[in-house]
Amino acid sequence: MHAYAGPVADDPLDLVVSSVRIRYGTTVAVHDASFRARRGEVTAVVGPNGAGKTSTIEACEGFHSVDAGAISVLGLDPRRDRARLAPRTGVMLQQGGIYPTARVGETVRLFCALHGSVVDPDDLLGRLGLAALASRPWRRLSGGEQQRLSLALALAARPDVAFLDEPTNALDLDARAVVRTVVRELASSGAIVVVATHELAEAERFADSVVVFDGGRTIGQFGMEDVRRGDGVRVRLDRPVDRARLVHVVGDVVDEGDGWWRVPARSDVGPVVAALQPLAAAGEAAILDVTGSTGGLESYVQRVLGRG
Amino acid sequence: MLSSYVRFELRLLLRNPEQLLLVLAIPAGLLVFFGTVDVLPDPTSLPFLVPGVLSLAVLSSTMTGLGIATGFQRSSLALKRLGATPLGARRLVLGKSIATGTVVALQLAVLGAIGVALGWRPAASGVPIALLAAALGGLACAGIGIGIAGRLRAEVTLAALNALYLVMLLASGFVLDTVHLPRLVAAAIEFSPATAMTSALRGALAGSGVDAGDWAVLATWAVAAPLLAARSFRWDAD
Repeated sequence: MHAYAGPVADDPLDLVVSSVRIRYGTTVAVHDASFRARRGEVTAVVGPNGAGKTSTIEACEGFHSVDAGAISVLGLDPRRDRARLAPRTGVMLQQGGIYPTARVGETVRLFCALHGSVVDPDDLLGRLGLAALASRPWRRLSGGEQQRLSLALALAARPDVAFLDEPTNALDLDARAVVRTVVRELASSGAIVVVATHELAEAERFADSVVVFDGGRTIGQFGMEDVRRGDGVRVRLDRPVDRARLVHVVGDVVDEGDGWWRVPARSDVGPVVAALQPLAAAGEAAILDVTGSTGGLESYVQRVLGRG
Repeated sequence: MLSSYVRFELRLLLRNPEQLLLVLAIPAGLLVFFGTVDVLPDPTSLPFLVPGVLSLAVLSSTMTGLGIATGFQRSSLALKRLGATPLGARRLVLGKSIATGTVVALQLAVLGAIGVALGWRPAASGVPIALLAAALGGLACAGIGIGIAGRLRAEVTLAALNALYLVMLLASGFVLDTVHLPRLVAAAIEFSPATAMTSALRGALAGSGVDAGDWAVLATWAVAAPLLAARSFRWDAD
């Protein structure tokens, strides 16, 4: 499995999922999941429906025990040490989760009180654009307003670890921008932020790394820098060239046959073309064709899943 | 933390007047009907009837009303979100019981007033004892209701608690004396919290005291049922 190294050394207080298997009765929901969510980073968890994302995250939240493997959150066991972790954990569920007649303001105040946090409920309502809705019951909120309230409840803990399930689902553009800002601020405060999402374009904008699930297994964890770079620039030359010569001018290359070379470390065609100019000037090789990186999280995940 | 949660639950309960009216209307209707229409054999007198209806009101609100509401809250994942907070299952059970108990206290005051209007004259010295018995009985019934709601699907909880309510309504001496029951059934039903609560309320409000056996049954259920409910509680839907 591809592992993500990250810019900083491993921390014993990271969230670490190690070879986890989760079973419900006779059904195995997760066969083998491993990843690390670092403090101060946003870790996106993606994959098709039924891939094992939610089961794994709920085990991290302490809702389910694992059948095999281990999970460590802030150095604690999420099941055994649930009472110690709960005050430091923020959870945003994908659906439901509030009493229909409960009002926005009183719900936020309750969650702040339950977490014993120093978060000011009115400040939280203001940050998420809910201040004007404080007296409105949950059942009268739009889908986007319910999403923002759910996020507010996750933030009520001023969490050291936050699990956010589809935080940008059903949100308009302005609300998405607010959520992105809030999520990044949370990570900047040193929290571990785990975001399960199907909205890959959003994840690409706020995540530091992405964990890809498929068929109850983690396929790999990838740094978003690699994802954004994509698989590199492809260039087709008019004649065979010694690989060492190409490496000398553009860096590492991969021979893809039929005159095509891939420059994995580049995402823009301009610098590659410029680097190859001396070869053309010297009559060693001319560029027949060049294509930019097929970057972006969606195409990256499709390739990782072998569906690209 | 607990007081914040109790206030939250209480506000939601008081915001639902239809439900409050329903849980008050049934025992009030029974009280007025049996208190004014002579359809039952002796000892269907007010000292027998009123404490039985008070006990029924406690059972309706705590076991059936609270249990069914909790089941549907769990199925809508409202409780799962609370499960991710430091509240914990014990405080959840206790908080819901206290909030419901507060509403039940208001119900008992209204029903007692109706009883007095019908001519019932309880022993004043027995009122605090009766309130203690109602509190223990209410805690026990809340534990049973939440215990079932915390393990079974909402629809199954609805059916199970209504069936249990019906059995207790007929067999726990609320309005029918248990001496009319088959001996084995009557012996078994003596150990139910509803029967002990009804018996304790009758004794206390008649001024004749409460049987030690009733206190033992009530105390055991009041401790065991909420603890077992908290221990077995599942936060998420099945």
